[in-house]
Amino acid sequence: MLGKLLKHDFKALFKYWWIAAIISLGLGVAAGFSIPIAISDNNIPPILRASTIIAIFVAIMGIGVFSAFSVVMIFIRFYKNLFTDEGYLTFTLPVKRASILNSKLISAVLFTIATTFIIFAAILTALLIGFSKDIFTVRFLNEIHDSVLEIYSHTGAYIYIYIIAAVLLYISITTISTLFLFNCITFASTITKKARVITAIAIYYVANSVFTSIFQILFVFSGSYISDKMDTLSENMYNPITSLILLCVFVFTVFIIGILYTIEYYMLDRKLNLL
Amino acid sequence: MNILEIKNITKCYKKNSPVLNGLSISVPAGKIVGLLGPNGCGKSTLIKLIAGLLQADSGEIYVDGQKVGEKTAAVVSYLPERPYFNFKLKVKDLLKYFSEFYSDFRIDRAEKLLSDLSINKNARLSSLSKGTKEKVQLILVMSRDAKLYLLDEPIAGVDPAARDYILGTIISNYNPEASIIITTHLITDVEQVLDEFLFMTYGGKILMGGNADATRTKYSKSLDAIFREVFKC
Amino acid sequence: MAWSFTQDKAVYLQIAERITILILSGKYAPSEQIPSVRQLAFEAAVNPNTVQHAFSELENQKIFVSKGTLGRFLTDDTTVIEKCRKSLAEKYAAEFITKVSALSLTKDELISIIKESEL
Repeated sequence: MLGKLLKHDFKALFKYWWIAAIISLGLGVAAGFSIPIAISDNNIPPILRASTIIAIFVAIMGIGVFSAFSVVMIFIRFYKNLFTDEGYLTFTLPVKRASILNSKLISAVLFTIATTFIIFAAILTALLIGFSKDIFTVRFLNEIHDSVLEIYSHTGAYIYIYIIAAVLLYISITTISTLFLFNCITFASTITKKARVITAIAIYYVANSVFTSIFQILFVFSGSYISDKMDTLSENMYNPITSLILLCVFVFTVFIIGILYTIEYYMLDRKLNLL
Repeated sequence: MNILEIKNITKCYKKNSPVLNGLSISVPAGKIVGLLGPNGCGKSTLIKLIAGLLQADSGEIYVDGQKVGEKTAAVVSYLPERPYFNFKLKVKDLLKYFSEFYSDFRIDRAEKLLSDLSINKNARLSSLSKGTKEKVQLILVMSRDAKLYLLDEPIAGVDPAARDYILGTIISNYNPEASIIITTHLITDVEQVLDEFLFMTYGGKILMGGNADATRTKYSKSLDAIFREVFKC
Repeated sequence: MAWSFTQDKAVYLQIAERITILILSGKYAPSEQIPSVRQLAFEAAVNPNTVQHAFSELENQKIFVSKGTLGRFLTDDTTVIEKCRKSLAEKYAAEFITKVSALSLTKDELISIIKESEL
């Protein structure tokens, strides 16, 4: 049953995504071609230069809109399928409540990752095309090569751990932010009946700002504390300790996921107020 | 074994204000039961509890011997008051959705009923009139071979011809191994279709109940007339 | 169109009577299979169990005969049907007489009205 739910959730999320993704990539290409003209030292007619600068600006805005669009799509799908009249159908399907939640969560996280991927691809395309004159020179490639070797000399084999850690942390943080969005929508739907969407957005905005600020402060303080401590360590302890820290952070994120998931499940199971 | 057992159900929306207070009902198989009562007395709440949309504060509900949950959802076919599908879908998408999730869905039956009404399978649900949407929803719900059908106000807000159609569909779908619970406040239209009835009032209290025909004979009145007397304001 | 029922008598009995009238008017031939409970329930817009009850009543009156798995048939016994016809006619006559007594007509005047009528 989870597979069937996933199929429908994916279909719903990705229905219009493809067009937006292609447009974003197109914008990246357009920006890429505009960059050399915009920054060129040659004598370019002002109108042409101005329009390429505007084109780059529009491309950046467009890609930003695409990113916001993905959050909106997830919001709409989650809210519409569970907390409007459609919910009468969803919650009487012969599936476990957990499956409904899992399907929404998995599809939303994968959807976010796909969107982020496209955004990076669009930006990368713009940079590759825009700075191709500089990028594909031997000197540039050599610089990249030297930097990579330099990093590797510090990390050795640990680089694989760092890469895996980065991927895992990215996934868990995306999961946390998705679950957090779900929590806001579900909570708003249990406390009001009429103004659910507005309430959900308000709660999300406020809580998001609060938590982000808290975590930023924690991050800065713990970051400086840890780097002070690290300075006292011998060099060959850097990598193992860093790996250990990353592992702790990952475990912490999993712990947060557990809490948010439990809260969400509890609300869906016991506090549903569809009337 | 009874198709439906409700044991001492209590449900409050606000503290100390129970919508249902210690209600117990049994429904055997092969019965069409009318749950009749004024608006807001808890009929819809009871139906939603049986359908698994709400959780009772105390008490238990068993459908075909199983506690309400994922397994009972597979044998309970619920028709809510309002349309519950995504209007952007086409009729045929909805048919596919039901066949995917419900193993007891008879798509051939549904398709025949839809073509009887000349409803185009390729039509988008948003393009259908309100009455047609209700008929589509009814057809989907009744095309399942469920053990228990819960029809919440199936004929309210629908024209008389559509009402006849809906009641006719309910009759022709009758299956002696299943039961149907109909909630309504339009008693005259529905009473001839009922085997048994329950008069429910606020708090989920049952004021009167029994076999419809026997009760009518006993009082020489229609259920509608009896209802008016019992619930006189 | 749904059949309409009065409130003074059990619906299943009224259905039984309605079916009897249909039989007497020749709609169903003897040894012809009766339409199913479900079909009649749909036509009359009533609960199938009520129709079932009516059928059982007609079986009690020996108007219907159940031939096991073959189904339900109208009885071959014409005396049963004629007895039914007579008793219903007497019942309606009694109703007619009750109504018409209030009009203060003589028996002869009544008989000539009947003779001139469409019967």
